[in-house]
Amino acid sequence: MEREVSRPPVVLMLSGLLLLLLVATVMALRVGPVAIGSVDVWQALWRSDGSLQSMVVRELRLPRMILAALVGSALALSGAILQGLFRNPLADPGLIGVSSGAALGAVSVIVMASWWLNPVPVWLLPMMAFVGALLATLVVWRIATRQSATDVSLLLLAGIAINALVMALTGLLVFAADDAQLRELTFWNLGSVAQATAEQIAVTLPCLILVWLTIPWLARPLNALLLGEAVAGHLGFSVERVKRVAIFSVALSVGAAVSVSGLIGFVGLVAPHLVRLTLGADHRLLLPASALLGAVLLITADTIARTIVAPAELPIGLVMALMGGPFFLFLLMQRRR
Amino acid sequence: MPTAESRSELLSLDNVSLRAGGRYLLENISASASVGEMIVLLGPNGAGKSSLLRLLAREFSDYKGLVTFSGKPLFRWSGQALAGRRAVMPQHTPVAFPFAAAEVVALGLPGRLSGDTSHPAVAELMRIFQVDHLAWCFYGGLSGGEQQRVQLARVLAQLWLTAGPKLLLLDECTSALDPAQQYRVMALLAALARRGDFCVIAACHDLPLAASAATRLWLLEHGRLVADGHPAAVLQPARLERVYGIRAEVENAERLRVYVEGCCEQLPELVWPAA
Repeated sequence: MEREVSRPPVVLMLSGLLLLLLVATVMALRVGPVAIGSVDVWQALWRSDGSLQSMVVRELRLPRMILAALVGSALALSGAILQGLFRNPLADPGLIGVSSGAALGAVSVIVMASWWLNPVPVWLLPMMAFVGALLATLVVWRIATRQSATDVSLLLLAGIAINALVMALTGLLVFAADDAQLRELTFWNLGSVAQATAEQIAVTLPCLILVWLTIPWLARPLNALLLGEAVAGHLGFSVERVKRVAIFSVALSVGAAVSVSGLIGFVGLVAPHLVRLTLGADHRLLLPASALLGAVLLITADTIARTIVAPAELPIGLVMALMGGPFFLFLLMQRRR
Repeated sequence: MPTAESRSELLSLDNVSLRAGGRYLLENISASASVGEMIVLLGPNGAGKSSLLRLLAREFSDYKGLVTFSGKPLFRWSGQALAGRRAVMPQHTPVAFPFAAAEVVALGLPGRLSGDTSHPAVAELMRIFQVDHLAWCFYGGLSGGEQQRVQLARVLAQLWLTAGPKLLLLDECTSALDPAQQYRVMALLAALARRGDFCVIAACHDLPLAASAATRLWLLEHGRLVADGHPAAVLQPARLERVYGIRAEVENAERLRVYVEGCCEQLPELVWPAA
């Protein structure tokens, strides 16, 4: 018997996602070494009364939660775009080397920029992360795509090569780094939003808004691309322009995410996949819903990261890898069938 | 009956050649097509049928000669304007993600409507191609023939809202269909052409099938157009023997019957490594 496809009402699913986001944010603000009730959280959000609780909410948990949400949505969205572009559900910015490219850009600024520049301009790090992500995406793109399809094995192999190269170059930079830089490098490789500041949010948000603006324009052509580049062309879309905008959006959002949080994997794989399972593969829904779910996932992962071994905390990248690794294996097993 | 104006030439090729890898895929092709015509492209494997269709679909830009569509050189058309006037069905259309059949058809709808499964065109076209009962099955789970009919519906959805002359380019759109569906689909396409605002150009391998539906045949051999005309004029035993290497008997000009022989007499000896 053929399987029947059932698509739940869109409004229901989107409001469900928003509800999840609300629950995740409330939990993220309440839970921690200092337990704070919902009422106190609410009051602390509106005004600072100088108490410990309001300080914890306003200066520690809120920026951290917002940064986790932004990074999660950026990574999930770029995963969804990459998967549409490569016509392959296994394309994740972490797996195929895009995040590594961004990390290399960021790390080289941390270690080397101070040799020539003093002080180092604040925009240099996010910009180099963007450039790194862009170069990595272009390299993977050139290697893995033929005229009509993407070769999965080439895609993942290119990712392995880029990841290895970046690890080696980062290793070289470790030799040159001093103690303070070394600590920063470690933070980068494990991924964390623990040092969230208002400045970081101010750097990330404009980049993401720029990427969000491309969603309505990208959704339909990405749908058409799923039928192949030639067919997308027959349907009247200018395929080359779509590819350029998509690659640029991915590089911008991954660059922005990595420059403030380091390497966090698997969000871009897990979020779009879960959305496709429930809402279908239509990018008009997939892109915004993946962004929402990515935010929920990373806020939750961060809440777990800072509570599970309290008073110490795990890097968020570690938590995501612990959840995402098995999920990826599960996806691979399903493809074998 | 179509008016004189709508009968006018929709597509013309003037001395068109296409080279790739040092050999001609298409060589000096001149022809024209009008609305109301159902043209079937015939020719042995590698004769250039797909190349010609892809050239007309504007997948190549490095050809010589001039292709004119609706009075304007093909390369002058904007992608969107062209998409409103002509639709293309490739030989294979794999769909990478879990789409339902109706969602695939809806992807063909033009512009802002793209993806709108509730548009009446989706249900109507799926009914026409007898795949309406499969609307909410996963496309990837359908049989090859069912997928082909879903693609036909998708391709026609692209022109659903277009008034005026339209061009339909189909590359072996019946290759996976059972005989009944083959004749049904070809008859549907011929009926579409007879409406007077469509020009259909379809590549095909089945000679009787082609003769049953076409108003005109284009016979390709080694990239050259070796015959262009009414089926009865094109399908002559001597020509078929030369082009395909088969002995065919043409019983009736209108209802062509082809008996094929002569292709299995000189089989190579099958030398198998000893077990």
